[in-house]
Amino acid sequence: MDENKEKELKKGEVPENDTLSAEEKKEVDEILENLKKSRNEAVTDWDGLAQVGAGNDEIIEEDDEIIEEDEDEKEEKPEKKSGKKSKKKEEEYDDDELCVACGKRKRYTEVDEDSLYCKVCREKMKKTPMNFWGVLSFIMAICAGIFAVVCSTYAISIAVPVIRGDNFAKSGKYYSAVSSYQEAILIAEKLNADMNQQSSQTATLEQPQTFFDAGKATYAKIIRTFHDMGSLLSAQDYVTQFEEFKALESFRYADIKEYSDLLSGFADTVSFINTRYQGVLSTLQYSSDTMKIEDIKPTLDELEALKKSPNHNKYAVAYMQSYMCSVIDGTEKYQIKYLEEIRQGGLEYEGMCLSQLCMLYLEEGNLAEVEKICNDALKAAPESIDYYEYLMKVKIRQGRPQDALEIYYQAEKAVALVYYPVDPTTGLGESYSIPYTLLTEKAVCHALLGQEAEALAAIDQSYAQGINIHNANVYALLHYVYHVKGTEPVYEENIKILDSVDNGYDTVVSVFETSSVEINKDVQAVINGEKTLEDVFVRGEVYLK
Amino acid sequence: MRYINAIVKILTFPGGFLRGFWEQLFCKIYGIPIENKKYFQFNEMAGHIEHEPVSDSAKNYFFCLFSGMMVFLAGVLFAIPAVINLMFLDVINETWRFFSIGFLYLALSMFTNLFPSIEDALTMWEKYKSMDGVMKVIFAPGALVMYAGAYAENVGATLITNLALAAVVLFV
Repeated sequence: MDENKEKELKKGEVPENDTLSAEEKKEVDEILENLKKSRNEAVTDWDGLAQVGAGNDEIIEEDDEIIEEDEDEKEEKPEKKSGKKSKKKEEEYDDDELCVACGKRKRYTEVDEDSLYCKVCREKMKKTPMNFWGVLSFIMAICAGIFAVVCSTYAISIAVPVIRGDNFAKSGKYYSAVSSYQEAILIAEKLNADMNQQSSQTATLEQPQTFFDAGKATYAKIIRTFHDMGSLLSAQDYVTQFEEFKALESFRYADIKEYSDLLSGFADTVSFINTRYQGVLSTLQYSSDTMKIEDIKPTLDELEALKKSPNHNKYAVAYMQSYMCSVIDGTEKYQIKYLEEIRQGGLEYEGMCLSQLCMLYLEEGNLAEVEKICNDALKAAPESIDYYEYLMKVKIRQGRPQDALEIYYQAEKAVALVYYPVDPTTGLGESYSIPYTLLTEKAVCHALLGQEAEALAAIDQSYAQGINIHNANVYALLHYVYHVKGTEPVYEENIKILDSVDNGYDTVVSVFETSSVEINKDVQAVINGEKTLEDVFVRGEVYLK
Repeated sequence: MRYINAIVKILTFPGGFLRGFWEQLFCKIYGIPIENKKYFQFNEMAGHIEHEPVSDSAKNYFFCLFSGMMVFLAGVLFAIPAVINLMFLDVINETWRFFSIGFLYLALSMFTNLFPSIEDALTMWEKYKSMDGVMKVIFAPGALVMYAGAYAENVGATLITNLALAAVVLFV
C-alpha cells in the first residue's frame, strides 16, 4: 500500500476494495486484526473500521502511537533476534553517538543536543521512582515544619512585646519599655495557665507545669532599662530572680553580673552604715528629726577614705553620702556636693541624683540649673514626668504661671503616650494617669491666674488621686481661699465660717491631726491675711511642709 | 575533599536527604533523566542525585536555584523558633530549650545543604557564561552565590560558618 492510501485509511475513509491488490488487502487485514486485538473491539469489516476511524479521533491518535511503538519494536526485535543485524546497525553510528546506557541506540539529540541517552533510556530514567528515604525525609520535614510553625506562634506572641519594649528603650521611653517587657512575662504566664488548663482536661497533670517563659534575656532587659533610667534599685527583685536562673556567669549577661555585684555592694554599704548607726538613719528619714553634721561627720570621712580603696563600690559610696546628707540638718551644700559628684562622674544613679539635685537647686533658688537638668533629662528620657513638675515649679517661681501651664499640657501628652500593656488574663487595658503632683502645680497655676473653678477642679483631682503634705496644704489653702472669698481675713471669724462649712480645710486638718502634723505656717499666714498666694507659691517655700 | 563532603552530609543528614528529595522532584518536573537516585554516596555527590547534564541554560539555572530555595525555606522555618527562643528570649524552660536546640540543628542541616553539587554548579556556570548581556546581569547574583556556595559546601565551609552562626545564637 502506498503512503497516501495508508493515510486515508487512518483517517477512516473506506478504500475501494477492487482497487486493492491481494497483497495490499492482506496487509490491511493484518492491521485490522492488530487493532481488533489492541482495542478489544469487534471491528470486523471495512464499515466497522470506518466507523471507528471517523467517530473517534482519540483512538486514531492511540493507533498512531501503537503503530509507532510497533515500529520501535520492529527496530528492536531484529537487534535481539539477529546479532548480525544489530552489528550492522551499530556500525551505522559512531561510539559517541550511541546511548551510554544501552550502547545500542542512537542518542536522542533532537530534544537535548548534549543528551547521552537514547529516547527509550531517557524515558525510563525520567520515570525513576522517588527515593524512599527522600520521601520519608520530606514527610518528616512537613511534620517538623508544622511543629515549628506552632512553636513559632507561641514564641512570636511572647517576642512581640519584647521587640516593642526594645523600640521604646531606644527612644528613651523607659517606663513604656519596662511595661512592654512585663507584658511579655504576663503573656508567658497566660500561655502556661491555658496550657495547664487544657492538660488538666485531657491528661492527668497534678501540678501546674511551666511550658513557656519570657526568657532570661527579657529579665535582663528589664534590669538594663531600670539601670538606664537611673533606678537600678527598682530592679532589685528582677536581679534576685535573675540570679536564680544561674546565668550570671554567661558572657551574654556580663553587665547583669556587674549590676548584681553593684546592688550587693550597695547592701554591704547600707549594712555598714546601719551597723554604725543601728538603723537610726532609716528611721530618721521619715521623721522631722535630723542629725547634726558633727554626729555624722566621722562616717562621711570614713566613706571618703573608702573611696580611695581600689576595690570600693563607688556607686554605693556616693549614693550613701547623698543619702546620709539628706538626713543632716542644714547640709544642702554637702548633698549638692555629693550629688554633683555622681552627676559629673556619669555614675549609674544619675537619674535618681538628678531628681534630688533639682529639689536642692530649687530650694537654693538656682532656677537656671534646674531648667538645664530638666531639659537634658527630658531630651534623653521624654517619659520622665518628674522633670515636668520641676520645670513647672521653675516657671511658677519665675512668675510665669501661663508658661507653667503649657508645660503641664506637654506632660499630659507625654503621659498619654506612655505604653501600658493590656492584661492578657482580663483583656483590659489600663493607662497611666497624670501624677497628682503635677495636678497640684496645675492648681497653683490656675490660682495664680485667678481661675478659681479650674484651680479647685485641679486640686480636687490631685487630692483624690493621692495625698502628700504639699498637696494637702495646697488643697486646704485653695479651699479656704475660695470658700471665704469676700470675707474679712480675720482668723477667728474665718475659722467660724470654716466650722460651719464642709470646705475641705477641716478634712485636711483632721487628717494631719492623726499624723501629728500641723498645717503649714504659710497657709495659716494667708488665712490670717498676712500673705498672698504669690508670696506663698512664687516667693515662698518650694514645698509646703 | 570527597570524604569531607560525605562526612558533612552525614552530620547534616536531614538537610542532605531533603536536598536530594527536592533535586529528584525538580528533575521530574523539568524532565531531566536521573542517572542515580542514591542520595548518599561516599564522594562529592553525597546529598545529591546524579542526573543528565541539562543543556538548556535557564532550566539548568532554575533547577539549581529552586531545589536550593526549597531547602532554604525549610531552614528558615526551623530557624525562626530557634532564634527567637535561644537568642532573642533565651528561654529558661529545659523542654522548651531542648526543642529549640532541635530546631536549630534542623535549620543548620538545611543551611549546610543549600548549594548544588560541583557538577551541577560547573554546568550551570558554563551555561551562565554563554548567556547574553541582560540575562547575564539578571542571573549574576544567583549564579555567583550558587557557584561559590557549591565549592564552599564541597570543602565543608558551609558547615563551619553555620556552626559559627549557631554558636552566636546559643551564646551571644
